Amino acid sequence: MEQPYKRRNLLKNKLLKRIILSRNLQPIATLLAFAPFIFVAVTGIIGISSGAKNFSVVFTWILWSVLLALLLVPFLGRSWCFLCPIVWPGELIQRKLWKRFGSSKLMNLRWPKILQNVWLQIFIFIFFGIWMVVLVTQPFVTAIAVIMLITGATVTFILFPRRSFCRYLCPPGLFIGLYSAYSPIEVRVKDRNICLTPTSEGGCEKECYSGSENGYGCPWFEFPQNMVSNIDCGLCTECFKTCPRDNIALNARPFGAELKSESMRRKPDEAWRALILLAFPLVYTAVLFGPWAWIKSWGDLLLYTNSVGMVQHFFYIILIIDIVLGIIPGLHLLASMGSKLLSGTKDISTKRLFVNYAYAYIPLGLMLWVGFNFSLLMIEWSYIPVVLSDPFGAGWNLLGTTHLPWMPIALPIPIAEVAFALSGVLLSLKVGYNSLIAIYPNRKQAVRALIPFAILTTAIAIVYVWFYI
Amino acid sequence: MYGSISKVIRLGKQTKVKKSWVERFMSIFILIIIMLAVYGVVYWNETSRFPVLGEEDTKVFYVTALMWEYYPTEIRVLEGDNVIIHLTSIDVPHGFYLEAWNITSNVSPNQTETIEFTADKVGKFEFYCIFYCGIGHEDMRAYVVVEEKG
Amino acid sequence: MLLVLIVIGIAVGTVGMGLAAAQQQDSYVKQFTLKAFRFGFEPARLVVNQGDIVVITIESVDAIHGFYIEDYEVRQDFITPGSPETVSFVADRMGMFRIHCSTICGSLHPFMMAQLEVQPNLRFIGSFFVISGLSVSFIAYVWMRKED
Repeated sequence: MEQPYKRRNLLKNKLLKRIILSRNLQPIATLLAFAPFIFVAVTGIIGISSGAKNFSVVFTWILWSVLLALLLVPFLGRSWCFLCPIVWPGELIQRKLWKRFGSSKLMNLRWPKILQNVWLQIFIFIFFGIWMVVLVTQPFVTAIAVIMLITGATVTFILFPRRSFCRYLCPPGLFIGLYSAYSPIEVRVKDRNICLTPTSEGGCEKECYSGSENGYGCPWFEFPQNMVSNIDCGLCTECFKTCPRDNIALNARPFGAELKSESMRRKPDEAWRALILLAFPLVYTAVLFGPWAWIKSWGDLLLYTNSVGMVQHFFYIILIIDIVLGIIPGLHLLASMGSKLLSGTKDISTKRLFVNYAYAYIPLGLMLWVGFNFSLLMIEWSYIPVVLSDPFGAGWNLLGTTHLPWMPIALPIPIAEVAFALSGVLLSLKVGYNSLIAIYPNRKQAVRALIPFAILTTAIAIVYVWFYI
Repeated sequence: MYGSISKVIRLGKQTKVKKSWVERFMSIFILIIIMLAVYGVVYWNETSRFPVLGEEDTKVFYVTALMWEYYPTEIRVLEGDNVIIHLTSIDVPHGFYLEAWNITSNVSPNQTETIEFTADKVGKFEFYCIFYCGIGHEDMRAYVVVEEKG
Repeated sequence: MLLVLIVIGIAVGTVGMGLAAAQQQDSYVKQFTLKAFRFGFEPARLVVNQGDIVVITIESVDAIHGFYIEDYEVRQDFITPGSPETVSFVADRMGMFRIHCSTICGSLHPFMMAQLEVQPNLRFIGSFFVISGLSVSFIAYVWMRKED
């Protein structure tokens, strides 16, 4: 279970510790996030239908999702989940039920074992991702998506225990969770031996999982004693409050450190998660930033031109699904097969290579998402002050910035995109090499096995860069 | 160690968590925000206006012209009201012609034109764009609906 | 280390040769008639050579559109159907430059795009070699490493 890398416990800082251990921090932060999202729903429903002038679209897709991809996830991991507002109506109801019925779920429903993975979450994400064209341009669709998420979360929280929604259903959670593995902070126990002390010898009663009067048991079903990955830790800070031995730390660590350690179990559903999240920024770049107007209009469900019908829209859906679920995973499968061939040994199966190496796409995928969002921000940032002055598009001018012209900052984009692609490739190869070294006994075999994956990684980065340079 | 694990598996009655004051009133705060939002949406649907404090008989509307529609599509007032419309455009120059009161206006993207009239007739009156703005220009229209008082 | 140097050498050499070749080409005037519609441009890819004088006449087909080229900062807003506008500039920088619509024309306006490619696209060719070179160097490096 040892993860031998440098870490520094940030909670040693007295002020930070007081802030994080305060029970007021999370509710206040959540309220500050809840208000704008409800406003997103309101402006989306009653505001102007032109997305670029409506708070709903601009806040969600040019401010929030960019902030998420450029700052929150790469540096602070699953920090959004700490203040995510969409689950709070549900979580409040759930906790009231807990108090009253002594159980955090109605009707004793357990999250089905067969769904205790991310397959369903992947399909929900793909569902939202396919309709990106209307989702990010129509205020009404954005509003409905927010309302659907709040409603879905509330229902799930009432029926199922703890944060089952967040772990197994939430679409942004698919992205946030996976790439939090790369972030430079983590929650881990300080000294595992303290956790392993039996109760009879003064050990704790696992309050981190079951809760105490100082806090709730981990809503994410994580057991700090055994945690080796950030992917399912929502940084809710409950475990810091409940541990009677103060044995849980918030560590700063090198980027992606957990990916290079061997103790992380590699699972097939997560491998596909990494592949699909690698494919999507490529797809978004090609559809939204590419020169092919026909793809955009075929994907635009609220059709403006008479020439595009349901057949074309259906074809568009098939095309996206093909790339995301077929082509990219298919190429990875080919690379795995080539890898097995080149390594010259029959002991390591193609499937094992497929699953193990997919985790190496985490840094590459993250860099492509960062690149896509960076380009979006540089071109469309000037809509943000406009929409803060006139959120409904009605003609208000609250801050005086309603008539700001469109001011794209295009100059840094090409060089930045190459930089993102380069760092993505390098970091991905490093993680990939470490993954292969861990399963091949012979170093030269591992390097030979790396070659097909390196070719695929390079090809993906080059195709991505083509759209920007 | 094994004793504590069986305690964990038993998800029975939990100890009550000592909540902070913000947490205690979270449901109230969230409810307030949701109710404000619902109020705003319902008010808008009824009146096509945003809640504005002012004289009872003067109704202020913000109308945006864009290719190729007006937002909102309907302006509802009562007979006898003093109607003020702040007209703006978000993309290209548009026109405004309200036949029933013979009001003409043009508006460019960075401007706001103010139109004022008294709603002395009851009925549904059309206004439309009179400045060519593209192939949808012909269909660009919206309505002023004047209802009887009382 | 040696491999890295070799790869960088190839990249630099290509760029250098390309620059030299470009200098020797004659400059032509390239004329394009670009149709702007909801939500794209036709033709969507304009290919010119470095040094050409590019003249683009933009016609709006339906709504009022705009025209903007990244990096070159060529911009023309409010192109009304029936009144085409012409822009011209010298394509002195090589690369692929995205073309955007600069007047809000509908829902997909922010994604209404075309591409101007000024050949030879040394930016892309250079990136191709640098990224490939990085992968090759990495593999060479881990192959030749003594310890683990």
